[in-house]
Amino acid sequence: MRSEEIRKLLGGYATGTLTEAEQQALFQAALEDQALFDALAREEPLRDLLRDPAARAHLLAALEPPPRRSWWSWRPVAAVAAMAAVATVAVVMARRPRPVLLSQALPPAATIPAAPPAAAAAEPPRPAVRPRRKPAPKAPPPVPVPAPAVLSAAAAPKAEGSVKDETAAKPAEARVEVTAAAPPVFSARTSLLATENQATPLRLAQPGARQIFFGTAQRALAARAVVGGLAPPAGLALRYTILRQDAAGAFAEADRTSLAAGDTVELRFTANTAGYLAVGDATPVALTAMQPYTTAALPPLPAEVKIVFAPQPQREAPAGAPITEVQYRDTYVANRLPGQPLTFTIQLP
Amino acid sequence: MSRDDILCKLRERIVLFAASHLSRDSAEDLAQEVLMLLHEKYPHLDRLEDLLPLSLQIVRFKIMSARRKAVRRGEYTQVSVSDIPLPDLEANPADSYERKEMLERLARAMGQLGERCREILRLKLEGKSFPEIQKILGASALNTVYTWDHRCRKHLLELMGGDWEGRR
Repeated sequence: MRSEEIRKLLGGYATGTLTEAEQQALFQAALEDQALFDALAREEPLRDLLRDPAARAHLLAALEPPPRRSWWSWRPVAAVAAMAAVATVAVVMARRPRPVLLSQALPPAATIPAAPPAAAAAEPPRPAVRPRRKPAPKAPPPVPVPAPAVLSAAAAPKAEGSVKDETAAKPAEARVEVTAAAPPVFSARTSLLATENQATPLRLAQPGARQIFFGTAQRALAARAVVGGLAPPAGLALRYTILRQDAAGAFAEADRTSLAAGDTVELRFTANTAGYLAVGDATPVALTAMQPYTTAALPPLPAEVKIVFAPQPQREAPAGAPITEVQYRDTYVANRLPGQPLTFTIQLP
Repeated sequence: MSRDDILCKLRERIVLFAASHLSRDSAEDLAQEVLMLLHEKYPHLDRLEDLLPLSLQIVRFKIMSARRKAVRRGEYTQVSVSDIPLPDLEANPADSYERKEMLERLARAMGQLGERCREILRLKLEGKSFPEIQKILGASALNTVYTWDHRCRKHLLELMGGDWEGRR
């Protein structure tokens, strides 16, 4: 490999995706070339960052194309808008003042006949409050104004004491209509509660093996654990891929279903956190988080390979209940119980 | 290449790299500390594929530590000893903050890349090697993938301001 080609391998160093041969070529060249060594050293912050599965998951999420919104995905938005509209209309209806008749013009009286004060006082007052939708009465006849000179002593206190009632005492000149507002009908609250209740099961859904592997489940737990000040423990998770030897002797990714008896395969593992991996009866090997590790070639198929991944080197561990998720040719296996060894068996046909 | 040969070459490279960040004397000391650490804690490692990444990691931590120590000692800014806060040994908020900031900058920069670069980066982050990426993307030659990735990395680095940590 030429030196300019070797420099192009720098991009695979931080992500830890170089093959053995590529690594060998890059590192050999870096020992001889100070500029390449410096470039490798400058990649170290990125490599350190990408060793964190949560950081990888964050970047992977940033690289995902935005989901295309189909018509039904707008339903929650439309529902919220409709509820808001209903609530607004209800509030407006409740707050809108009823029509109030403050005054009414009367035809001027042609003559004001003098009348005895007793007649004026004896006239019964008209009701101040009238029920709604009652037909408006016809304009009353002009009320005779009593002459002050003949106002009797008995009638005077009554007139002075009823200053507030003066308007009410002149129903023909001012009427007030007061009607109780109809109670607004709120259906928005009920709908909102129903929406919340429907959303609850989604939030409580169990994380998948891939979620645990990339730490997205841990991040969600971390957000909840902030209040308690507790760091959430991470569940152990592995991703493995089957590599089959082709006719040229090279190993390439293969579908499990395409394997046949007599095939020679290797397994490539990546762990979400540092730990020790025991493959079959072999001595446990130390794995660095998110750095792929490829086993030696396994015996010819069919084979059953027992896998133990634990924080400490161990070949045996109690069988738990690992969860598995397959995506493309990658199989994710995770243990939901934090800190517990991950034990499972790979059946190769 | 024997372990001693590798360490000898590594020392030479580390000194020259560290000298571009620290003084020459400090660079010599730093290289010596790295080699001592490799000798005492990692005597079982003798492959270049193990020793080189490990030494680079140690160099980075040592340089960061030297910078912080210099700041604490007031080599750049004289600060009263009573104003210097006690270090929190449980967690380092500065590290966490820098890391978070770098992650955010990286995510933003990745968002500005072209479709092919985003796809290559996605595959790399999922742990795919270059030969696998070649098959998935249907590239005719492996060197084509190397070139694509090289250009993408260069563009990404430019978007990040020329340095992953944004120190420039």
